[in-house]
Amino acid sequence: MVKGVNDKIIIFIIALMALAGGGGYGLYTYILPEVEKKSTELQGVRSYVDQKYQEVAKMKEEFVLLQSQLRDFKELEANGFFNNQDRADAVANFSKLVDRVGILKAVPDYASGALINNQQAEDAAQVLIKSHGKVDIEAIEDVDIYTLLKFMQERYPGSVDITKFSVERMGPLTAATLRDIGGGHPKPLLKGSFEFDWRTMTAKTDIKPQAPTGAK
Amino acid sequence: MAHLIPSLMQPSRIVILIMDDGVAVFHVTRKGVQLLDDLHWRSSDFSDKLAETLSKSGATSAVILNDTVDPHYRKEKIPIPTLLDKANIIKRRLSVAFPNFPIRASMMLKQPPPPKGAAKTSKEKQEKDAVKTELHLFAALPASDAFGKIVHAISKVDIQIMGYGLLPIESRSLLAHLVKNISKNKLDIEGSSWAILISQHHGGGLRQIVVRNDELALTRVTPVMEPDPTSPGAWAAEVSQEIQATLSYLSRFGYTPGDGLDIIAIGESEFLAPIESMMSVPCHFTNLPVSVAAAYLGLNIGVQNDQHHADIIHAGWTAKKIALELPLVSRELISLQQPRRVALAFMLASAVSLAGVLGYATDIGMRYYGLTTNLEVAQADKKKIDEIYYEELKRKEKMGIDVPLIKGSLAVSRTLKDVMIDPLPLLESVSKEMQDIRLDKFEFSNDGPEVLDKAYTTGQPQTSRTTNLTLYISFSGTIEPKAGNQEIDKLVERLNNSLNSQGYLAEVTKQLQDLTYTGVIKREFGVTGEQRKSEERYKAEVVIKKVAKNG
Repeated sequence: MVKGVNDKIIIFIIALMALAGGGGYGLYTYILPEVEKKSTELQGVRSYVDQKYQEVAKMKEEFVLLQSQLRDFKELEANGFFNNQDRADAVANFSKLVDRVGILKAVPDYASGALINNQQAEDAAQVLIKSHGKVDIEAIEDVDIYTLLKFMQERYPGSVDITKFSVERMGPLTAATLRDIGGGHPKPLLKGSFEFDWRTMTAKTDIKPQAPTGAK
Repeated sequence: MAHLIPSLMQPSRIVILIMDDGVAVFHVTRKGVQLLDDLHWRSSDFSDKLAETLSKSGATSAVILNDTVDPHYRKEKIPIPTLLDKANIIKRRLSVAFPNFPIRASMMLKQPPPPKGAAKTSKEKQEKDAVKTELHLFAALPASDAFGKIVHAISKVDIQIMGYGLLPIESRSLLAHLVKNISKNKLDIEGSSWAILISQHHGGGLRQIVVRNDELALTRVTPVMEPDPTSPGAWAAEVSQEIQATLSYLSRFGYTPGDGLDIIAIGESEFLAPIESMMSVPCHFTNLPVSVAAAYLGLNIGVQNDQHHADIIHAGWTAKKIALELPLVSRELISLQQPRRVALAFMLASAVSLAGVLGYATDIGMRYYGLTTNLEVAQADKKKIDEIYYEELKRKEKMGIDVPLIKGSLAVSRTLKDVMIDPLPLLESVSKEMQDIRLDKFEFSNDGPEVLDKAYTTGQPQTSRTTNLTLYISFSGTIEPKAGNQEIDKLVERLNNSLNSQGYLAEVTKQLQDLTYTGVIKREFGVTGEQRKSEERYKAEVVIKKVAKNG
């Protein structure tokens, strides 16, 4: 084949070159992609495990936190924060409060409610409802008005945020007025009003679809 | 295949010693030096027999060593103008010196020391010489059928050819070594400029190598009889005559007895001992049996029965070298060497490539194994964490906890509590500070944008709620306005003292009457005036504002 060199040697060299070439080709064509694939797979699994570890840690942390928050939540629930602001219930609840207070006259006026676009409520699959209300009052003693206001804040279902409150004397206390009161015909000595924002939270499924609006 | 592996990796080498009447084939291995065959030129199938001997030896390389009378030597001083031209100049001078000899080579020699007393003159002369000169030894061999037969034999076997050398040239260093090592034991021979190595070889030739200051000065090979144990003196006498002839040549080369002369003869002491007494010139004569000479040279020649023929020493010495000192160049040898060297280079390159591929494959394999192991661990971790995760989910589901609802509703509640204000505590504080001042009316307001709206909570300009409490106060018309104003001021002072800690600030927005120069005064005096006073009332207003951030 080649002068001066034995054919066996030539064949041996060709075999060596073929082995080296074939080995290199096999390495780059099959082994390296497989290694890359395994590497990517490993990274994916590790990333998944890390993410799950974080989620579990977060869940455990939340669980511990929730243990302490659960009481506040139950209290919120007991205060009627989760209701759909049914107007009949609203009026009935107001009536119950007025009955406990010796007030001469109280006229509640509820505006139509609106949904508040709130992220935290959305995350909990809930909606926030806000209704503006106004109550005109007439009373003999101012303490009755204050009592009604206190009851509204503490016992009315949901959150009552007093935005306006005013009281004024209706006129000078005269002997005739005292006689009327003593005779069983009470005349108001004070008149006032308070306005409030009533907010509650309810499940999305409990309300009719409505475009959320940013209520004032 | 092993024949092409370099002898460095497997030191097994054949030395083909070319003599006048034939060749001696020596096999040099770690175990020693062995004479494999002794072939005469005229033997039938010379090439085949030599090829068979080479093939059977299993050696990896061969060196051809010439020990004949054929080589021609010449020392020449060559001017070398530039280093770039050196090779061409030497080649040209070599071809001019030996135009009819196809096998040629040259080597540079050390410049001889200048003659005593002429050092200064020589130095000045050298300085004057613009062109540097070098002393070279030229050697050449005529074309011969014998060499062709050897090349033909080598071409039949797979063996690397180390080169073709001349025994006197290659054994020059052997003599220098011997002199040096013997001088360690015999202090009296130190300092000689001349040295002669005498040895008899298998072909019957007596080889004499003369060096001066470690450079080859003269070499001779002469046929002598084989020594006869029955009359050792006859052989010694013949050798002595040859030495005398060599010494007579030496005087032509500038030898003087004062230079000192070491003569080392290798062979049986029985035959060499008489020679010392026959020497006519002062010299340090040392005779060494073959095995002792090999020991001095650090050669392992194995157990040798023949302690007289020294060609085995020359063969072992030359085979030990990595490269020949003066490799002769011949077309026939090149035609054999080149393809084999190229094949060797290819083989080495292929082997290195294969080793590289194998090494890389091993590395990749280790990585793959590591990845697989890590992946198994990661999969186990995944399975475990999935179980923990689902257990955690189940636990919460069992408890009936709606995490987003709890978190969301509490967050909403907290936000509302932050902005809501209960007016009753404020009013209670105010009522305590009113004392006997009459309050006709109050108005409280706590208003602002919807704090729960997403647009408000996600970066829109935030507006705090505005919280005000306005007090409408009246005084009897009979009071002096100045006194009433003072009462109002005192009230405001009391309110601020009480409410500042809660973040409120009180201020008078309307006094009973403006008593400064900007005020407008119109008052009725007299009886009707007094009556009117008792019926009318002075009015004042005080506003309490929330100044601390609210909402």
